[in-house]
Amino acid sequence: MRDIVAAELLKLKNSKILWIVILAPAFMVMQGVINLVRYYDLFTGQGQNVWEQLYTQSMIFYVMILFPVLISVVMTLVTRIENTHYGWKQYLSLPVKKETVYTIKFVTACGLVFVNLLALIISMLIAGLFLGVEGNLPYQSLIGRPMATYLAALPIMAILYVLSIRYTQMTVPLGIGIGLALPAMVVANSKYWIIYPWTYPIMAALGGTMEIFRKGHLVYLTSIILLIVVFIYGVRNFSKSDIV
Amino acid sequence: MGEYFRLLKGEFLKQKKSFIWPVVVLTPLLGAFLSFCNLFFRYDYLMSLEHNQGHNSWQLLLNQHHFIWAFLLSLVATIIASHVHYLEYRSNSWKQALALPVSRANTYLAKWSVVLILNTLMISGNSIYLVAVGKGMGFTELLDVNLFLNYTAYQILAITSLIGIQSWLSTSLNNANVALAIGFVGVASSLFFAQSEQLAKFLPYAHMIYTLPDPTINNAIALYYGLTFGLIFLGFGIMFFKRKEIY
Repeated sequence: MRDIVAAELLKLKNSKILWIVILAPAFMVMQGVINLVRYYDLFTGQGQNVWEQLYTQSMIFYVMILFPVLISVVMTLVTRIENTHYGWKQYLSLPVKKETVYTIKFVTACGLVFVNLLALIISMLIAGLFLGVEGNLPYQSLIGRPMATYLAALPIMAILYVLSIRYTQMTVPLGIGIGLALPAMVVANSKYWIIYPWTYPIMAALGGTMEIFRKGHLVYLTSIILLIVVFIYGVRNFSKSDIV
Repeated sequence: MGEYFRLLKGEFLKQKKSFIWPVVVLTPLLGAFLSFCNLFFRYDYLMSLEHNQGHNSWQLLLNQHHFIWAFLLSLVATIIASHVHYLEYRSNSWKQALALPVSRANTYLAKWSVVLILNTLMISGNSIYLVAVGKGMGFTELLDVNLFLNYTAYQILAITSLIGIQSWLSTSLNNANVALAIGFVGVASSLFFAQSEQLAKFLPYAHMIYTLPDPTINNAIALYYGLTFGLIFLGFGIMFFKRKEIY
């Protein structure tokens, strides 16, 4: 098992994925900071908490567009080598258990998404210090909500991972990932958001201030259940599939 | 010229069994469906908003549709640009493709053209589906054909800059995901860029935002800067591709 983990990390070493997951949120925070500075009076004129405003400006487009799309990129990247040049055939002809391979790849991908959110939190903290924002750090916003966003996004990761394994063409998981992420921007503003898992990260990240988000605990429970169901489906499917 | 058309035909043959075609057909359908749902449930509310006063139903449809569509189209255009080049990396066929006695400029131009044609199909499909949405919802006002023709033309010109930069990145970077990630970050922050006209002019990811035919939006950015940057990046791409080392 340790060998498989080492092999997975080795494959990612030169893939530039770490740069992608670290720099992408940092760039979005930079955008948020520029916007906050530009409209500083508008956003803070009525005594609003500057940290909260920094969080909202950094998070709004990150969680609505970039985060779900980056999950698709990460999922296609962890299966990239196997999906090209008949890599699955070589990999699975080795004495390794399919279930272990599936699980380790998924955990690696989820770890990368976690690094992505950590980079977001750290970027916001650095941006706040750079701007000289005063007052107590709102840990709930800067750390709690991104963590909740991660939890809420777990089913999305599991679904896109299944698609990345199932289809060798990267267009499929990417296209479906985007095709399901964009409607979330519309659905999140309706009372039907609860039935659409792609809205969960948006609600977890931004819904704290919305009256509509009263079903937080239900979201996290649904996310965990969906994750388990999709993961079990994916493992079983992968174990039974023929590699040709 | 004959060589270019043969290469173009070859590029379309490569896409024959790919998932690009369902993506091209389904993307505008998804966009139109979202706008249909949005207007179906919220038409009266949206019409009652102050900033929509004086707009007819067709304008309301375009205004509501545009900000979802600008993101959706740009993201999918990014995928298509990467996909067309990724096919060569995936099957390790750059070496064979470039060892053939064909002009590298034509090879690059054929790939760029495929991306542009597929995007033009999506943009045209989007306009057709939107007209169908309006008719389906029973808009009483006459269809403003010019509004839709302008919207379609502006988008085709504006998307050339995004196609230009993404095709260039996809050729330069062996890892398709890096080009994709750069494109996705650019698209995700396009609305921020678009808040400043001066900045938006020089950022291909923001040009699509300026394609809505509305008196409050400066369409010249989409028209002139979109096309200019499209051609500049096409030139960069060809120059780079001519010098590309294939191992």
